[in-house]
Amino acid sequence: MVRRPSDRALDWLNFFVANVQTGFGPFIAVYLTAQAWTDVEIGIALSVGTATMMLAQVPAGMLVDATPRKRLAAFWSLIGVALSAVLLAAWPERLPILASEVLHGVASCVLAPAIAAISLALVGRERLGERLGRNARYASLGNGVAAAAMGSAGAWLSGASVFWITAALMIPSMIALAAIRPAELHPPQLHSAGLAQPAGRKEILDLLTDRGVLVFAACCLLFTLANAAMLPLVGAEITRVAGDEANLVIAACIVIPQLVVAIISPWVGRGAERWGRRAILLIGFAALPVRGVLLGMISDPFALAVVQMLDGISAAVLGVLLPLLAADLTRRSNRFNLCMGIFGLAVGVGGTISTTLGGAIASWFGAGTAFVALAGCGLLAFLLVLFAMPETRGTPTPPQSTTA
Amino acid sequence: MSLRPRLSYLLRAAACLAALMPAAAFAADENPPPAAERPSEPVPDPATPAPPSQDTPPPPAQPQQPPAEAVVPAVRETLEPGTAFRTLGREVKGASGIVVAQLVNVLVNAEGQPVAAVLDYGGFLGVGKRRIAVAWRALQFSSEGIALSLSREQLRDLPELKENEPVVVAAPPPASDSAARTQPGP
Repeated sequence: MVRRPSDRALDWLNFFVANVQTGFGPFIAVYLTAQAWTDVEIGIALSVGTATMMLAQVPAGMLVDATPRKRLAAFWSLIGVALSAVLLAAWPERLPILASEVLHGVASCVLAPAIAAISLALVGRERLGERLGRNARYASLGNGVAAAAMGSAGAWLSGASVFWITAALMIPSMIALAAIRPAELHPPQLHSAGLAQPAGRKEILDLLTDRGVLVFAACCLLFTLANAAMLPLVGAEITRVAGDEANLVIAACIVIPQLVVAIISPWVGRGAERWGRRAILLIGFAALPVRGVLLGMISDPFALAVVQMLDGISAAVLGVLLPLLAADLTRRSNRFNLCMGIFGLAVGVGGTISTTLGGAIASWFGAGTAFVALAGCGLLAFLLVLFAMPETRGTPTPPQSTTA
Repeated sequence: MSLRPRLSYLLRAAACLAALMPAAAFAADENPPPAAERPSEPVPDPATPAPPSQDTPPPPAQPQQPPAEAVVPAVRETLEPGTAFRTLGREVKGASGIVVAQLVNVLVNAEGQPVAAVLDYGGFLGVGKRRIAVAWRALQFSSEGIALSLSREQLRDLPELKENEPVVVAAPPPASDSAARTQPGP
């Protein structure tokens, strides 16, 4: 594969965007607590963010579908994320924080499909798997580096410094985005260039009733339902049982999966092209219940960190295959980003239920039970892939023109 | 699609954003000062049982006040800087000076005396923190911050705080005993 400057630029875009999104994780709760926010206030702010993200997923996908200017969409969403980081750092009062959460939710919902759409336009359908593998590799490198850097910044400088770093990282993101040459973007043309058709209701309905879309959306929901609560629970367990090294072990539990993703993602992308989507999906989804059971049985902190490598396997598979399947399933329509939005919504719903449910089970029945329950959800997701998910790879070497 | 104008547009906007950031940094400096510097929070202090004699001006001297309900203004007590400390949200440092927790709440008894502090303990970037309670006397307060005299090893396996259940508080062992003992909370 010839490496064009735009390929490199897209690598870096993924890297810096992942940097940026790391700051918006659970650290916000720590930061707001330091501003003497109460639990209830923090809970409301974070729920506003979650709700926005879920409400905006599908409309944002439709928006990115409708615009021919995917780079412009990515540009504005980067501005939105930067503004929300500045708001968080500079003005930690109720309304600015709520505004920041809303802004970040909407901007993220645009950003993810826009990057996927740029990737698709850059390499076309045949090499999308490989390209998405690279995306996932650089995104996870970005996550890992940012987690390490921001962890130190939060510990040694101040909580607000994390968000200043976040906002500052927008500048290299913008430069990377600007370096992607529009001349090299060739969005797949479909249906007599039916871009921005407002009367696409039938297509949307077709998409919503497509078996592959529905089954994989359910798989995404169950997967995140099982997955999202595992890391917080592991972290709490390590804090409970480990001595002075606890924070380092937790940091390892965050960074190790990212390294695994960075290493195996390109292989996942190529494997999905060579052996089909189902085979790769089954590997990734199988890793999840195994991890849940192992986490439930093991209490040694270092062994827990090793088990977290399984997280890297399933994260790489979902990270690559979610956009790839969205592209597969929308070959005949122009609804790639809408499909991404639907899957994103499923992921969001699963994640929200997961942390609440996992935390509740852990507090009443113990962490072991919680891990087993989460593993059960993961097993359901695996079975759903095994018995209901159709293969979506298409013909081995589909010429691009026949996709119309 | 025109290539050049779009590119320069992107770069220009990025430059604008960069130019905005220092301004926002100044805005951060205007945040309210820590509460320790704010005068006269109503702090319950049993040592000074409200001497109302000194500063109370005679009510008739205030003609604009309604004469029926004379308002006795609150006594003003000044807490010198460095004698009282903000607690909620503050970082708690361990024996080695490393931040180990955030103080999120204070449990008081019926007299209003603090008995325990609720901490978000441990974690990395917010992942893995646990909500536990430690005895108030395990904390030392100074202008440098809050220090916790219990080590990670001593807090190992302490149950997490749950609503509607007895609070298990980690207190410093009486002498140089081994682990932290627990006592029923309020």
